Amino acid sequence: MQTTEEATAPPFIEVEHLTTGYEPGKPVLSDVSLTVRQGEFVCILGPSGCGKSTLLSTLSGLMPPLEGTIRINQRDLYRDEIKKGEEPRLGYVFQDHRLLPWRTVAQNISLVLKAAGVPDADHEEIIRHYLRMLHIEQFYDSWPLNLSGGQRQRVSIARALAVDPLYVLMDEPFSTLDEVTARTMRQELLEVWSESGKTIIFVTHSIREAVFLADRIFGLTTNPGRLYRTIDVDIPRIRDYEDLEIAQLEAEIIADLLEEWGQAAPARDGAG
Amino acid sequence: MVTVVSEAPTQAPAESRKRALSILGVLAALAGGVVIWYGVGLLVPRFPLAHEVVASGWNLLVTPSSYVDLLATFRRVLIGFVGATILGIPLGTLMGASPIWRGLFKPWTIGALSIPGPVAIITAILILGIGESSALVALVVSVLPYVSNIIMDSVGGLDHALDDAARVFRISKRDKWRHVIAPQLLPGIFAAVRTAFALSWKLVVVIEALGTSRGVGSQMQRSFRVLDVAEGIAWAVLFTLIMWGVEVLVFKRIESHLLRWRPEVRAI
Repeated sequence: MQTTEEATAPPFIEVEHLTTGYEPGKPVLSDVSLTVRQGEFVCILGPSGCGKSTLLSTLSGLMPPLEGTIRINQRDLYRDEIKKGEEPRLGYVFQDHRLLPWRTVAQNISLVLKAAGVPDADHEEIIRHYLRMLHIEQFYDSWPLNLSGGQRQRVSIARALAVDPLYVLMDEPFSTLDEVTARTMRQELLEVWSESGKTIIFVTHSIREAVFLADRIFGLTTNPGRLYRTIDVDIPRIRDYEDLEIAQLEAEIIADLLEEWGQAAPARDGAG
Repeated sequence: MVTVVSEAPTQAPAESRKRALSILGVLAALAGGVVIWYGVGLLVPRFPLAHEVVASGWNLLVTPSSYVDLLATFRRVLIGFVGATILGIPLGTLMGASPIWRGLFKPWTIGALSIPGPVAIITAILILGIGESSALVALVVSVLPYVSNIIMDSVGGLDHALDDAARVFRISKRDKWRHVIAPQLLPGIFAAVRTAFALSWKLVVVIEALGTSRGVGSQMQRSFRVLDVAEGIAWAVLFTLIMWGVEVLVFKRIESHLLRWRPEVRAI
């Protein structure tokens, strides 16, 4: 949510000179620095293979960087001593829902609530609250595979929010949905974001989606994987997906990207 | 057009319709079978007709000693399939999880799979003598490799995507095992148990015919030896019906419950 205090708010998530990858010497991302303020909705935009998912893995605290630092609320995510049970709670929404098909919707969310240390007695109320927020309260006892793709992703989002996370990571959560469902989901995600005030980091390869959703966009590119542009999306909320301003910004970003890709083309192996 | 049901499943109508259709199918097959039976009876001399077999079967049911044989066989089936399962599941898990164990044991399981039932029991008798232990050993050795193979394949097919989700939400090792891994292994374990049972009761009759004094298999063999073919067939039919009963009433029920989360796909 945009407020006048935003500009002077201290950074909530700080990424400094991050180099990350699966093998030392073969980094997927090099020297990425960015900050995210509390309550912001930021998008990480880039083609396939540019390391967006790797960046998310590193931000989730599960993949130590090869070089560089990640700080959450001024605490180093990897190097500071974090006691067991005090690890930062985060919500994660995957591209495929990754719900346990052999557990009901409520049981799926209950499982992560338990892992977050929430007492069993409080589970039902919390679960119903977030299911209601995502307009799926009637599926409390449903089996995930009996739900449609869009409904499953709603459950997935409810699960991510239910743990009351410090921040929420989303990895192309709508890219497998049909366009109509995806449009609805984007709208509802913004409503949920507005209602919950959470910090959201959303990965996508769709420029328009990024422009529609984000306060700021971090543009990544490959060969080498790096942050080449930070874009402020100054379009006022509430936005319309067909907005002229969105289309304009999208066109600017595309032009920018083409120029960028023009420089990177010779080394490219067809990724994106 | 096929669609996935999007409401909490209303299982009653779909389930009872399925059941009605399958009962109809069974009845049709039975009727067809009887017709073929009498047809063959007209062509082949001394071929026991359905009503003769039914009479023999009834005779067996009212004879108390039949139940001694039925129980003896059932006990062997139970011990055989439980033994094969208890040994086969850890073996299959090891083989599925570790290439070293897989390499070590694969020749043995392949060998055991290729031994026909009669060869197994005769070898066991040669080594252990005629008796209960040779029958059980032959049974377990024959069924075990089927169990371990199913488990081995199921262990290899675990979904790593769910592991990532468990990591990200910091799910404890214990909960991960209980909620993520074990349920993935359960269908495989259940398939293995069902297969072990089905194999055991088919094999036990052969083993009994060759190597034991009481039991359905040995009684069948005795019937055929005195040329009472109707009685021999009656034994077979009786035993088969009882084992089917167990499969439907016990295993199918448990399977339906374990797999109740699977999606219902209805054709429009």
